[in-house]
Amino acid sequence: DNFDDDAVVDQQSEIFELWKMVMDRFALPLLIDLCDKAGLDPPPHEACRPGVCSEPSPKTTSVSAPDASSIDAAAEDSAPSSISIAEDSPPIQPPATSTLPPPDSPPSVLCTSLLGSETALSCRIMAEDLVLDTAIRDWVLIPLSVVMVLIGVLRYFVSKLMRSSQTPDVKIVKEGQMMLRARNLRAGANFIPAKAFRARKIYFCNEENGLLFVPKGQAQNPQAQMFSDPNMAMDMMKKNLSMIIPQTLTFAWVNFFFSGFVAAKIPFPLTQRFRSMLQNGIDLSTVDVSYVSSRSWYFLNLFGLRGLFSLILGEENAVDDTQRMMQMGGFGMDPSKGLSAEKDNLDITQHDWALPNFEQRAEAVLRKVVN
Amino acid sequence: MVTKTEENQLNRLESQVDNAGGGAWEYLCLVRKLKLRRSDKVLKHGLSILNNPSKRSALGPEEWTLYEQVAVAAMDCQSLDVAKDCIKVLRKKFPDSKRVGRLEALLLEAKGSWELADKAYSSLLEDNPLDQTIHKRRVAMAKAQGNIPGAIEWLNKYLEIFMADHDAWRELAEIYVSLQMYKQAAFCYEELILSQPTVPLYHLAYADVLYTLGGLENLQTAKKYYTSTIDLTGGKNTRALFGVCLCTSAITQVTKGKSKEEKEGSQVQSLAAKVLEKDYKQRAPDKLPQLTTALKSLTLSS
Repeated sequence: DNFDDDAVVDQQSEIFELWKMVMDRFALPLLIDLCDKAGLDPPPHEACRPGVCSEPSPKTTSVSAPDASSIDAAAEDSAPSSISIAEDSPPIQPPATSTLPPPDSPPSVLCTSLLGSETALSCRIMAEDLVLDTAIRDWVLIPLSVVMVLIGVLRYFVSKLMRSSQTPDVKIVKEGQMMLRARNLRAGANFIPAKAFRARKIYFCNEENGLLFVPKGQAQNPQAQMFSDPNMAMDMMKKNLSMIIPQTLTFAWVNFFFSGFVAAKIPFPLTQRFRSMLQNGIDLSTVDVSYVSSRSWYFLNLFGLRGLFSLILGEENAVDDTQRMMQMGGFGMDPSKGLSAEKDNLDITQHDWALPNFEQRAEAVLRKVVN
Repeated sequence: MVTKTEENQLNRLESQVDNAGGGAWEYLCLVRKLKLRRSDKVLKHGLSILNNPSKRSALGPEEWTLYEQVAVAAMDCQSLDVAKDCIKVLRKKFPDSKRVGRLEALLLEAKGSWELADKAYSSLLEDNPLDQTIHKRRVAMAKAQGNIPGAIEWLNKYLEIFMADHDAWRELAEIYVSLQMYKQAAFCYEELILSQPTVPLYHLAYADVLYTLGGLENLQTAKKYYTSTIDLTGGKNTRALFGVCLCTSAITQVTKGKSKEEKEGSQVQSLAAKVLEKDYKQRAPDKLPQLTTALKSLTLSS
């Protein structure tokens, strides 16, 4: 084995010698001459003195103290050779302009390549482009979406089965219709005479027996009613449960099976703040925040599949989690609040009778018809 | 309100079906969707589908809706046997259904046994106090019996709960007009205008009522509403044009001795008169002389 190692080392040193020769004796002098002739700056010192490194690694150009004398010696060496070349050629042209290949020559390319690789290595350690396995797409993203769609459809059918026929309360229907009527009044107020409008406004907003007026005591009722009325409470419970349980289960499943790897790359750059949210299973802090885990894919699906559900299940049946979650917050003061809101709105509505304008418009119309 | 495309489609389907060109089912669906009252056609074509077992089974679950539609149409055309058969079939299929119960009560009403029908409706309402159609049936029954005040009472009770139902307001307005209770009718029309401000029909009716009520303020308001109708219909509504002329002359008659203000409203009147003349010239030229004399008398009296 020692023998083999020695042979390998010998081969390496031979190659190195060859490389040194080519560099020092041919490429570099040619480069310097070209730069001289073309009037360019001479190549930098690092490129001039490559040969001092101990290991034969062409990429790294270690910079030793440039030996000025050796450069001159190299230049002088090359100069007579070039002159001799010039002299040897037939004296048609003066020696200053020897026939030289155009400046875009291999030596300059060699030089820049030596430089370029070094700079390339040093700066780009941060955002390397991860290549994600297509298996991730096949076995994580698509199955997760499919599962969520299926769960949504299942939930819809289950809710349809479990739906208890609600007998709406007369009072609630009445209030709903009243709100509609008040809203119409506000919308069309400018189309009816002022007297009529005022009469209706009083009818609705009168302090004692106005329709929209809800005395303070009653305002508490809906919430208490919500909790005491067993039917309604059961309904709310059922609705909430039917939403919470599948969500929790799916989330746990995603966490259990699909954690610990990068699932997708978000096409736009994000700040570091999002790292804890999006990269939950990935424990590397140097990975770009755009690479997210499958948990964020789950959330994306959760909020984004509403459109798909409204396509599949029909317009109103879209299992809309986000809206339901928002509704969970505001629990039940809706009817009375709606009424008092309507009353306030109606109170501030001014009456601006639009009919006189109509008269002028009619004139214009008639004029057009006549002419 | 039926849109133009739907109207065209309906007419096309109707002519197609009448000439035995098929498409009966689409026609029936369209009629049901638009809630039109073409009972004779519905009856004829519906029965043709129902009596044909293969076509009937091709409908699938829609078959029962068709039965219901045909039953109602049969009652409207007074062919009560057909209706009874349809209802029997439905009752066999849906023994506990409120919808079928409603149809049976409707049958009783069609037969003319008012008390039985009334009892049936009341019992149905007890189960479901918020069924709008049953309330309306009760109103219709009272009206059919000639009991207009009773109809008004039921309708008012209905509107207390369902006050955003503009069809009900319209019905009430027409009943009031028939009873010459114009103030209440005006109130109803105001409700209608509030809910649908761009429908010229309501403006026109309101203006008519106001003109009938009389009094300077009402006349002026009526004139304004006639002009708004003209605006909304683009000057094509003959009744509104006449209304404008009549209103103006009535106003000037009332204010003859009172104030000498020059109102520029006469422009509208003269314009309206011109448009009327043009219209009559185009459509009924033999009546034109009558029109011109009438208009002249209006302007003369002003």
